[in-house]
Order: sequence, then structure tokens, then C-alpha cells
Amino acid sequence: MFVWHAPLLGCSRWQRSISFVAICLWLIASTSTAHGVELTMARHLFDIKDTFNQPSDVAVAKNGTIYVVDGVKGRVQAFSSSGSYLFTIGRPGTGPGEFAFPLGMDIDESGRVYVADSRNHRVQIFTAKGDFISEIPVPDNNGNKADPTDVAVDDSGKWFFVADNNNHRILKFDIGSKKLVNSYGKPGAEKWEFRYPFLMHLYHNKDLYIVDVINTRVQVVNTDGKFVTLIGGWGVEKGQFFRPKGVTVDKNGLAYVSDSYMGVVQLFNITGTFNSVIGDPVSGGVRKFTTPVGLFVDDSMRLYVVEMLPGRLSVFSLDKAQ
Amino acid sequence: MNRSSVCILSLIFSTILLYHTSTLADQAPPRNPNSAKECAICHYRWIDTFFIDGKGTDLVPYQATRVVAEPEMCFSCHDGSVVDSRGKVYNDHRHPINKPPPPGMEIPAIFPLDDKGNMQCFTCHTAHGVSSEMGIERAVFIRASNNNSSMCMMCHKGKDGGPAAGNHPIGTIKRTIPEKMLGRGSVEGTDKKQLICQTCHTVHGSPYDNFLVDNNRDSAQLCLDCHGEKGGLMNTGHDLRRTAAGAKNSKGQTPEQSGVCGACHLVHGAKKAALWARDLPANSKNMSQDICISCHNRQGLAPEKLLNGYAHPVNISLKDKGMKPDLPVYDLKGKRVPFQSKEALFTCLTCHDPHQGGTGGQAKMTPPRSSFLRVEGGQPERLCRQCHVQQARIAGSDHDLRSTGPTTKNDKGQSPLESDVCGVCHLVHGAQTENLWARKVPGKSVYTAQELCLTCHKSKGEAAKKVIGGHSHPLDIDPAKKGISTKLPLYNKQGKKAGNGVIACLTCHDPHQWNPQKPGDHGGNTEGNAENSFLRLEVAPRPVLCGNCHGTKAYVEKTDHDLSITAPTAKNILGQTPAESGVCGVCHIIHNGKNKVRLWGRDYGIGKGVMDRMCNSCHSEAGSGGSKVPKVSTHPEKQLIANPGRNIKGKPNYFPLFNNATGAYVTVGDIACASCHDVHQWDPKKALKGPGTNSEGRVVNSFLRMQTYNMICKDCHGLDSLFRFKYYHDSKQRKSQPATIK
Repeated sequence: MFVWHAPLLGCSRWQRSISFVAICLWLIASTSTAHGVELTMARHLFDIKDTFNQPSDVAVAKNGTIYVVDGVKGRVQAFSSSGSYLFTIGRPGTGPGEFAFPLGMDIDESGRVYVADSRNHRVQIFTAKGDFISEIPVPDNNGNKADPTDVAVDDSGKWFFVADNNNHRILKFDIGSKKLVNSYGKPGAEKWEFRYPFLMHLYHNKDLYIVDVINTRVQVVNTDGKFVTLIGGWGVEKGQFFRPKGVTVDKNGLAYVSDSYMGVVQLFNITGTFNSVIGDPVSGGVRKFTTPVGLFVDDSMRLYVVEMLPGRLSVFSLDKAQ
Repeated sequence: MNRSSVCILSLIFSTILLYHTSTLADQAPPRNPNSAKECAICHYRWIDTFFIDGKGTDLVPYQATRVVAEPEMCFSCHDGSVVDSRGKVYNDHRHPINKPPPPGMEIPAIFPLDDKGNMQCFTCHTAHGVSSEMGIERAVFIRASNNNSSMCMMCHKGKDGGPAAGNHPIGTIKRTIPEKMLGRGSVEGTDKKQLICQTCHTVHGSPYDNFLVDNNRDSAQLCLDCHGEKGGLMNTGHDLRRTAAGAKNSKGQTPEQSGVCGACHLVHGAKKAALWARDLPANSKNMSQDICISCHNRQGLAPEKLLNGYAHPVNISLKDKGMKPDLPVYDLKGKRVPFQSKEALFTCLTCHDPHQGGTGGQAKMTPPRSSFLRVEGGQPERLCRQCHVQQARIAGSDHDLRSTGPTTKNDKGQSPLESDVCGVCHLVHGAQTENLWARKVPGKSVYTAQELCLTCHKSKGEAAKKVIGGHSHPLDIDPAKKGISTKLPLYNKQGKKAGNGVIACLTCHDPHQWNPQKPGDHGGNTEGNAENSFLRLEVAPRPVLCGNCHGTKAYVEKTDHDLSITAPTAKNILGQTPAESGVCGVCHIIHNGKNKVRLWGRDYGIGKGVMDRMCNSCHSEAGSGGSKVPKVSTHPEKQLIANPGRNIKGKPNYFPLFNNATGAYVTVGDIACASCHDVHQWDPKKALKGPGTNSEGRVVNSFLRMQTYNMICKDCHGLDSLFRFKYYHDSKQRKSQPATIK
């Protein structure tokens, strides 16, 4: 600033004022070039590294307990809201309470834990403390094994949706009867068509957000089976995806979508339009993650991001950026 | 405002205007973003923003270089969102990436490296189809067919060729690849039981060294998955983790690093024999033996287990010796060969299985006592008997000291239960004598063959009740010098069998076999008789053993002098019936008799000379030959009868004279019964055993010696004596004086 003021020392007061405004505008323009995207600043609180091996998803109970799917190790790890280890659910295997490379999970209003036990082709249900309750097999699709990668349960715990990744469909189950209620979707790129649906989020028991990985979008449908909207699209610009993986919706209806290759988490309005991208208040720029996958935003607006390759869960406090 | 100031302001506003123009363009909808999506979904560099616009975005920087098949790109789908390779590819160990190939490894052009010469996922993989005939589950996305691991070997050369090239065999094998391995990702070749690289190695997902499908360090689980029978060496002396933890194999690995198997064997780059992992003599002439000696030498890992002293012979052909053991044999290169092979030799490994730990009890001993023998049920005698079939009959007999002398100790201080039945008398290794005896011998005789027997058969010995005393069959004599030929074994001064040797205990006795006629009869610790008693050949009922030396004496069988026919209840001085003593034993006691002369086994009868008294012990009124008592049985004494020229055994005119006191042969003396009679042969013209019937004799048989014109009688009685001698025993026919003396 001093350097730029020096040539103006000989100008009139009006001239100096005009020059100062012009310089400020130029500087603002330069700053917008560096951060030409709206940022939602995420203040880092803490990390949980534990001994994860390629963790994939996270869910947080109303009481603050954090559950992380540590699928390669065939378990779900539970931590306190401050990140202290609490207990482990499951171990590798095929029996009740055992897992084979689980990927996604959800929690209902009462705190019961639902885990998509992918290679065991089932969903398992546990108490909040990790006691096995039941399992619900996910049926084959015309002889093709089911590949449940995530589960999204309604708050009352009466039914849930399952993303059947390899079969490109979404399944709805009644928990009481353990029966398949409905099957939606088929391979393709149109509405209600999928190419590898992966992680999901059920918002207000009404709208189901489904990450459609190879279609590079998030498809939103409602629980009545009606299409709602598409979020994102192919590309590397803001509002676009290269490898979308995780999705969550905060209490305000903002959807958060992780992109594991671009290493960003983008926010979308309830209408599906781009809102912002998670930023780093320290650098003032876009916060970069390494292979971000599962996401969660709790009621206190803490953002939980699972980074698969580093084997890390990062917890942030969210502030809206300028 | 001067001109310069206006210019400056114009420049600033132009800059701002240009910026906003550019920003608006950026915010416009993407131009047909899916047009190249199917390619750019992996070819990130080809996204329009980078490839056409040549810029980055608010979210990501400009991508100037290709990243299509770098690990991060692959993982972006293989993280479970499309394909779940988390466990197999991205978990722990995997084929290296981001590294150059090892020095000297020639990478075929079909496998591209990155700009830095490093291996990447795309070095082996491509998403664009492969020239592979294999199914998607095996070969999809790899750049060449990996049929039977052929792609692996395009880079990893020199890993085939089997043991001849120092490598583990590949190809069709005899074993079945265990389910346990297959469950861990092990892959069989296109043929059943076909071992390929991927049978042991898995490129992705192995948590173990060298991408092995199972752990091969420490306890070498991978090796044992197939070679489970080798696991017996765990915690034995051959488990070098225990006995030589710091020793290194030829690759410089400790046993813990190489695994218990790798301490001695290498799967690749090994010495050719047995894939040996330790030093071997450069010009080994006997690889099978040198493998053992590579540790069992003074500078080796097992100097305390050297082959000192005398040992069981090796490098011999068992086939040539008529042995047929169910044991492995090897050629000089250390390769196991069929038993019938000309190269098949008995080696260390024939008896020893270096992987065999022995019984649980043996393994717990310090040091372990199993000696790695190929034993059944932990009993070494079961091994010895594979070759020494006849000797194995000793088990259960009185010579099995496990029951009859359990406190006996051999030279190594081992009890029979420790050394087992054979080891009581024989040391296979470390013997002090060439005959491998396991006992210190008294050394009283220059002929040592019988002295091993005497280590037990002595006063205060384990067999004190069976000590050989006086009046026994002579030993240490050369039968040839007595005109005797025999097929029984004779022994030299070293105690070895020799055709020109002497008679030893072992000439008549086979200490390993209780009953020569019934191999299955082990005696059961009972009192023996002429049928058994470890006799080499039967003595009863037929005198086969005695007849082997005393051939002409054996003609007594089935004659009237075979008391089993004529007096089966008669007993010798030991109280044995003919059935118990055998036909010879009726009159002769081989061991510990009461009488020295002819080892006579009966009470003497009347008569002046000992020879006559022997005859009359039966030919008396109360004797078993009571019906054959001559009325006259004596020739006038002190007639100084001389028989030179007629004292040669075997000649027709043989007419022996005897010392009356000792029975020794003399040339001047009195005529005795045995001068005219050969008590062992019924008919002098028939060198045969008798008819087996108690028949009345005539002048041409009746145990008479050969009658010739030159018989000694004519010297005194003239030629007519040739016709009158038959009246010798008839007093009515006899005159007071011989015809020629009148």
C-alpha cells in the first residue's frame, strides 16, 4: 500500500481519493480472483485417526456419540463427542455382529445403529451401545449378489432405504417384517436411473439424497418414490463433480457433497443450486481433503468428514464465509 | 486530474471490467460436459476445462499432466463406490508402485513406466481391454494374458525351472493345493493341481512379505499350508529359531526373518539340491550327505552332533543287499529316486527325516531325543527292521531288554527304553568299534565275536542265569583245521563274519531270533529248548544245526540211536526228553554239561573205557537200549592193538582206538565199542539218516563201521576173522584165544 501511495503524494485531495478508491477496487478484484467461489469456512476442531484402515462413513447420534465405519477391519468404532474412543462394534466375519467390508451407516432417532454390511449382503442393526439386534438380508437381483453400500433409516426406525451399488437400485425395507417393500431404479443416466449409487442421506424422513457416482450427481427422490431434483453434474467447476462420494444435509436443508478425487466438499441449496464450498479459515481458500467420503453435519453444525486413504475423521465447526 | 492520473484510473477500471467479464464466463453452464465424460472419467487431464480451456477452476488447479492410471485415480473408483478393492489392493502390502523396477530387471515395452521410470498401476493395468483369454475375475484390465502367471514371468525371469534352477517347482504337482490357501486368494493354474506364481503370491492385498498369500516368516505357515508333514521340526533342534537364532541363510536372513523353513530352504535362488539355503562344498560328490554335514561339522551350527566314531554305513545300495525297506533313497545329487534305480543309495536321509520331531515325549527331552528318525509310533526298532527284517524278530524275546533288562545301560548311558531294543547292543552312530556294538566288551578273547554276548551272559550280568560254564562246545576254533566245513557263520578277530574265521556264539546262535522255525515265536521269556533258544537253525526235531558241521553224525537221525523213535521218554542228565533236547542233545550237552568227554549228556554205564561206558549207559539192562545188551562186549585188554593206517577218518578201514580215560583218539590201545561201531550211522554203506523204524540189524548195518578185507581183526585173527567177527558178541561162538594167536 505504501508503494502505491507514494506517486500520489503530489495530487489533489480529490485526486488522491479517486486514486485510493480505484486501488481498493483493484485489490478487491484481485482477491476475488483467488477466491472466486463462495466459501463456507470450516474451523478445524480435532481429528480422530485411531487405527482406521480406509474408513468410509460416519454418523453421529443425538447424544453426540460418533460412529465411524472402519470396514477393512470389519468394525464400527464409537467415539465420544470429543473424540475419545468408546467401544467397537463387530469384527470380521459372517456371523451376527460380524462384518465383511461394510461401507455405509445411519442412526435412527432412538440411537440404533444401522450398518450396510456390504459383502455379507445384509444390513445389521445394533443398539446405541453396539449390541446386535437383528440383520436384514438384501436379496439378489436376478442372480446378481446384492451390494449394499449404505443405509438411510427413518427417524422412527420403521423402514430404511438401501443403496444396492452394483445393481444400480435403491431398495426400501420394512424393519419390523424385515421384508423388501419396494425397489427403485435401474442402470442408466436418466431420472431414477443410477450408475453406482453409493452413500445416501435421508432428510426429514422425506427426501432421500443419493450419490450417483459415475453419473457424477446427487439424485434427490422422496420417500413416495417421486423424483425431486438432481444436484451437481459432470465437471470440475464449482457445483460439479468428478467423484462424488458422500452426502449429508444439515438442519437448514443445505446439502454437503464430498468429491474424493477433487478433494473438496461442496454445499448445495435445497433447490439443488450450488451454495458454496468448504473453506479453510486459516488459508482463506478452499479446504482440501484427501479422499473425502462419508459426511455428517450434526445439529450443532459440526461437520464430520471421513478421509479414506489417510484413515482419518476430521471434525469442524461451520461458519458461513463472505 | 492530470493526464497521467486519468491513464492510471482507466487502466484500473479496464482491469476490473476484464475480471468481471471473465468471472461471468466462468459461471456459465458447462459446455456439453458429458461429451467426453466416458473417457475423461479416468483421463482427468482430458476434461474440457484443462484440455481445451487450459486452466484450472475454483476447486482444483490446472491439470497439465496425465494422471489416468495413477493410484489415486484408480482408488477413486476402487474404494467401494464402484468396485471394492479396499481389502485386496489398497490394504497393506501390494506390488510396489511409485518405485522403479529393481536393478537388472528388464521390463518389456508392453508395460509402461511413468515419466520418472517408476512403476504405476498402469504399468500392469489398462482399462482398454486386454489380450487375455482369461475370465474377468482373473485378468481383466491387465496388459497381457496372465494365464498360468505368464505375465508375472515376463518381468520376473529366472523363477521357473524348478529345483534344477534353484526354484520351487511350478506346474502340475502331486499335491492338492489346500483349500486354506485358495481361501486366502491362492490361485491354481488352468490345470488342476497346477502350481503357478499366484498360488503362493498375490499381487494385491497380502499383508505378508513378498506378497505371499500366507505368512512365511517365523513359523513359515505358507510352506506348511502345503508341506504340513514337515511341521514336526517345530521346536526341535532343527528349528533354528530355537537353536541358532542368529544364524543366517545364504540370503543373509535369520531364521525369524526367513521363517523356520527358509533357514534351510529357499524358494527361489537356492542351491539346487533340496533348494538348500546354506553353504555346501563347491564340488560336492554326495549332495545328500553334504546337506547334513553343512551344519553337522566342527565349524557348523551343530558341532555337538558330529559323526564321531564308527557309524552305520551309508552310500550303499540296499537293493543289492536284498533289502526292501519302505524308506526313501537318494542319488549322489541329493535327489530322491525310486528304490529300483541304479543310483539309489542309502543315505542319512534314508533313516533321518530332518523334519520329523519324534513323539511328544521325545520332543520334550532336553536335548530332544528323537534324532529325527523316520519312526512309526516313536519306536526306532520299527525303523531298523525296515531293512533288518530278521533281526527285528528280537522284539519280545529274552533279548529284548526293555522287559528282561530294563535297567541296563548302553555306552551312551541309555536304558533300553531310551535306546530301544536295537540300541541296547548296537550304536548307529558314535560306536567305538567297527561292529557298532553299544556295550563295552571284556576283551578276554582275541576273537571278539562272542564277547558282546558275554557282556550280559556273565556272573552278575543281566543274563547271569545263562552263563556259559565248563563242559561246553568249544569256541574260537577254526573248523577247517578239524576237517569240518560249514555254512554257519564264522567270525574273525574283528568280530566280523569271515569264511576263515572261528566258531563263536553267533555261529550257532542268532541272538535276534528265538525260534528259527517259527519267526513269530518270541519266546515270551520262557525257558528254551532245542527248538528255539536263539538257535540259528533247528536242533530239534531234526539236527540241522549240528549237522551243519557234524555232517556224518547227523546220520543218527531216524536210526535206533535217535531216541525220539526208540526211547522218546528217556531223559538226558538235564532231564530233557529227546523231543526237548533234540536227537543230538540226548547224548551231548552243548553248554554246561556234567561230562567233558564228548560233552556226554547221560549217566555212564559200566565198562573200563569211557567210550564203552558211554555206550553202556543205554545198553544195559535198565537202559533204554536194554534189548541190545551184548553178552560179550569186551575185547581182551592190553593186547597193544595198533591202528596206524586205520586211524584216518573217512577211510573204509577206519578203526579208531581210544584212550580209556579221556576218550581221546590213540593209535595203540584197547578195542572199544566205538572202534567197530559208528554210533551215528546205521548202515556204513549208506551215508544217510536211518529209516525211522526200530528195525533189527544185520551184519551189514547195525551201526558197524565199514567192513573191508583190511579190517584190523585179521591182523590177529587171520582172514577168517572176516567171517567170524559177527560172533564177537556171542560167548558160545568165541574161543578162548584168537585164531592167529594159538
